[in-house]
Amino acid sequence: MSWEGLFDGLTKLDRRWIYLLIAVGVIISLLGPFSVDVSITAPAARFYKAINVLPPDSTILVSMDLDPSTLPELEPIMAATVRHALRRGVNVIGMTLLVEGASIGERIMREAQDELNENYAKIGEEERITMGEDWVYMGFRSGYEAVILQLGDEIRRAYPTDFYGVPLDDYPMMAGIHSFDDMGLLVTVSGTSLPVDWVSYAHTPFGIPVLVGCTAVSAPEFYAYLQTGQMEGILGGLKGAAEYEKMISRPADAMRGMVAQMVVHVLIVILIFFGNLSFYGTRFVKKRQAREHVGG
Amino acid sequence: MNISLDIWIWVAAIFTLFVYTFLYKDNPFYKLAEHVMVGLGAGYYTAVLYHNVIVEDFLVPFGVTLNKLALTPAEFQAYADTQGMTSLPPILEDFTPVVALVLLLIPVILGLLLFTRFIPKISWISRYSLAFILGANSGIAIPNALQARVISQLRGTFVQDHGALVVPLFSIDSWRDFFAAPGISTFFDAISGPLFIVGTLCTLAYFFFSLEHKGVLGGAARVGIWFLMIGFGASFGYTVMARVSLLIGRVHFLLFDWLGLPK
Repeated sequence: MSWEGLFDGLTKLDRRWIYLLIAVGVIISLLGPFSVDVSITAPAARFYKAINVLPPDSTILVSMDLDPSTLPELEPIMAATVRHALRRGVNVIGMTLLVEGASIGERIMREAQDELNENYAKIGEEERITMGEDWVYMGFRSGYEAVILQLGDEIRRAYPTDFYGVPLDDYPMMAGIHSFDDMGLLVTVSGTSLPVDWVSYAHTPFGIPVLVGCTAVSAPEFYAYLQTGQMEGILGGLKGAAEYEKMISRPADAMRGMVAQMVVHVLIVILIFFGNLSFYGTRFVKKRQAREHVGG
Repeated sequence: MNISLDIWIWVAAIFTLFVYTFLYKDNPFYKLAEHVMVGLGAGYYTAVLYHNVIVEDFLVPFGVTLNKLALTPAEFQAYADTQGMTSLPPILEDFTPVVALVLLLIPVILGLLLFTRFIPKISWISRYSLAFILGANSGIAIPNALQARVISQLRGTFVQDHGALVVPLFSIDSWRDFFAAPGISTFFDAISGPLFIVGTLCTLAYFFFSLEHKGVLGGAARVGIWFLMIGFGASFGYTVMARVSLLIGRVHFLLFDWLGLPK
């Protein structure tokens, strides 16, 4: 095959072959016994430390502001955060500002409870995580910034009842918890710009530290807030979740996904290389042909 | 291999495959999945918002307030007991029943006025609702957003807070640290601020079209292109990571939740 034919073939390669290549790469990565080491970055270390230094029986607010389209990136962050807090004896109040997050958040809280209780049972410990004593899930409220401001004043104004319609006062965990002043910090996990709203309406007026779990795409936007101290820590995308899983010694979906991430990134770099090669190669061949045409 | 017997896992798996058939070419299976998703989304939104907003924020407190107004204290207590009420709606804790009724009706009326957009002759009425929404949101947003997004960010550009992760743009300390202990880390800390300033100015120069791009301006614009390309590359990298995460999530679901392959 001539160089011209090779470059032409690369330029006109059906994109469906690329899709197939990526799919095979991801499937093999997930099925194979592979693992990659994940280096811990400073924003993730700060996220971990902020929760790790909270005293037992303190309370954190976790706002699960996400929808199914960002679930693969954000669920590992939420799952790891809630488990880390509950395991340390830190009480968790879950909520969401997005309609789509209502039932997702409830599932994540329940799964965390079930997994931790299963682990306690395995090692013969009597301790159990229970709703109302260790965690409460308040569900969805519409109003975005208005809800955040109400939470800073009195939680019960925004949420008279929890996700199940039970008044918050019926839960022992909520005794003495009225506003951001009674919480150690708040975590917002979102694929939207809502973390900036949490900074604007929770951190700025009430001073509560804000931790952010976000999609990889939106992470660069939030680094400016990390620099100013308006956000205490950031977990960006699957990589951030994998770092957190490593720090809490609970390797799960994010760690497994990092192998596939690495494989796909390598494939894309190779594809970009061949794409450029075919582009410049075709241009070079055409120029040479033009010179020969003029010369001949 | 332990294939799931859960009907909903099967439904989710089949629809996932339907969606991915679009990568081959547009087809009726993809169209079906697309329409079902839009329909389900709209239904879910409507149900949750109806329950959380119309029922909880209006119908329930409105009904309780009306009863509070119409019934004697003893009758109201009996009503509250039959309804299983353990506390009054928050609005009744702060206001008398009459004021509460008015306060509950105002947002409903403003909300209904928005629908006048559908009647051209009286569509101007909806502007009152929009004006209220804009005014209220501005009142809430401006002081906090100005502090959080402008003043604090501007301060962070010049002042290094204790424990801050990144040094500000003008940091004599970081240069002092570099000369005291030359190394890659201290070098990047020292150079990042000036580099940021140069990058911003050169990128702006690229978009400055009032003068011809030659001489100093032309050179700055060319440097600006490099900064833009590096910025786009970084964004592309993050975007790839995000999109691949979505693929990983679906493949993970198909392999382990649906087909039940060993992890």
